[in-house]
Amino acid sequence: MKKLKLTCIIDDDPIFVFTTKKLFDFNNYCESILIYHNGKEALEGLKPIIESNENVPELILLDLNMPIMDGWQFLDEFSKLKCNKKIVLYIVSSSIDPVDIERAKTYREVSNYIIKPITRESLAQIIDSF
Amino acid sequence: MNEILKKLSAEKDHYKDLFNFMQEAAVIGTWEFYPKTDALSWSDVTKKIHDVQLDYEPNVETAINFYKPGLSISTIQEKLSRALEHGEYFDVELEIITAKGIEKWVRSIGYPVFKDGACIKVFGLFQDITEKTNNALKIKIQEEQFRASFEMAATGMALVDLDGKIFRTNQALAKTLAYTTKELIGIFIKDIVHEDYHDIGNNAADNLLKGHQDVFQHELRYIKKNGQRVWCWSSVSLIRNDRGKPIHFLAHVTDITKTKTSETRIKSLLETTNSQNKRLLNFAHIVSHNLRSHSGNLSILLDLMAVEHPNITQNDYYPLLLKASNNLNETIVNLSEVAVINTEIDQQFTKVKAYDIVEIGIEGLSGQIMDYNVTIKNEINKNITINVILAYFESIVYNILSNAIKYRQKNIDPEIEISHENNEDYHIFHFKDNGLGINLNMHKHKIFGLYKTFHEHEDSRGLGLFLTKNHIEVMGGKITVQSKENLGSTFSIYIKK
Repeated sequence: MKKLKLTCIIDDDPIFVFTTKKLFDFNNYCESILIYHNGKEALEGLKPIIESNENVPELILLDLNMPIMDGWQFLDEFSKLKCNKKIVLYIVSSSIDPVDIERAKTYREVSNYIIKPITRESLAQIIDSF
Repeated sequence: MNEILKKLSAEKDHYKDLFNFMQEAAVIGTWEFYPKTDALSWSDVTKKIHDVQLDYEPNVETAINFYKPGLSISTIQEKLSRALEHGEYFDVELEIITAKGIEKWVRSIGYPVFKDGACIKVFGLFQDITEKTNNALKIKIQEEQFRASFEMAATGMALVDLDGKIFRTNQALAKTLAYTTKELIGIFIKDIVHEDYHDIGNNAADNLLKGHQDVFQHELRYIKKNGQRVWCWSSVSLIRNDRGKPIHFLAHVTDITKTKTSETRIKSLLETTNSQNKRLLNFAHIVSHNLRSHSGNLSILLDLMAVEHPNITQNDYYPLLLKASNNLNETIVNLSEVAVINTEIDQQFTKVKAYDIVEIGIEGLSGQIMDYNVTIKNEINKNITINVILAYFESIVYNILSNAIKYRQKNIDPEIEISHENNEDYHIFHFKDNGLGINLNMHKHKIFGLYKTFHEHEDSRGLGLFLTKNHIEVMGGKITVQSKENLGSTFSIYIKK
């Protein structure tokens, strides 16, 4: 396990963002966290970062059900960006719909699908994989 | 002169031959009777009709005795005596029994000839009409049969002339249309069929007349006398005479309003069910997306709060909040499971050995089996193969076994016996336990319901049985239960063959 430099959370739910941030802080998993509240905001924020190839987040936690641009739409756009550094992306959703889980598997960028709530244990597993 | 005589004689012979020929052809014989001498003579044809030799010499007595005893013999006796006494001509159809014992219908005609007030001669014709009479009788019987089946028929029937006018009908049709049979006679078909169907009807009549079609069958709307509409199944055929010329139509009309109404009802039921299914899917979606995220947040907040502010857990409210949050989570997980079952329709059926699946279930519960000293007897024949959705059957077995352990009696070691029997349509598996049992009088209706709990047990919840029932029904089977309080329960699972 190593300490991450930058993690990105894309979720419109303030409670999820709050608790996840707390979990990162308690365990000292990460130096800083980047937060976007929907897909469009995230895309606009991440695009220049990835193009400049500096301060690229190592981990992205992506919610599916969001206003303006949802997780799927974000993924479609995100996969078009050319990135030299490895970004690990997890979908973190409260949807247990098998259709969503299967669909997630079709994206090369998606490492895994985590069903909310994200717990101390599941987060520890994610960090351990680095 | 001789030549003329010869010619006349020849002509006479010629006429005689012609006369004989006509007799033969028409099967008409002649007879002559002279009362003065009591002499009776028969022509050859008359003799043939009686089946006697041509040299047979009849007299009045023997001749009369050929008539069939009863009406025939008494009629001919009366007719003959009236002819002799009063000069009355007779023409009767009677039965004779020939010399060969064959019964024949004959037409006997007699002309008395009178001179000076006395009968000097009766001459007559004698014709075999057996075939004609039999045919007539046959037709009469057929007609009677037709009349009976036509008038008594349970379906409405009508004979319709080529102009479309009813000329004969029956009680059933009159009843369907609320007319009397008399009122229907003379009515045009188009006056009792809804105008929307006139074109169809006209086309059909055309096709039948042209011979394009033997029978026309269609659902038609008829109009009752009171103006009400009635759906009827109609079947119309064209009757032709022996030369193929159309005579009239024969229509069968059956009231199908009831069938039609229930068809409509079924259709609307189906629509309701479909929309309910859609709503259920929607509900599943709400459960999985919205409720879950809220309850998940609640539990993670409580979790983190305890880490960050450990002293808060000492507050009386904290454990209660935690419990409420956990219960909420569990409920939502269970609800999602139900929703998922109802949406996963295209599960695959596979052939498995029932014994093996039960063994897997037992293995899964080995911890509890050791803890509570449970004895399980799996008495299913090892070769029994069933066709099931594997995950469902596993879950069913697991649920029933774990329930049997969960609802054990205090102080009695749990014993569970699993057996199998066959009937025509199902494999039946019985799971018999010696547990707490269920008061079926009180709980029968809710035993398999969602969240029905009948034991005051720490983690009792009715969801297991609800899921089990759902799983079984999705596979086309059923589940029954027999139980007595404090004696145990037997759950029987029916798996379709």
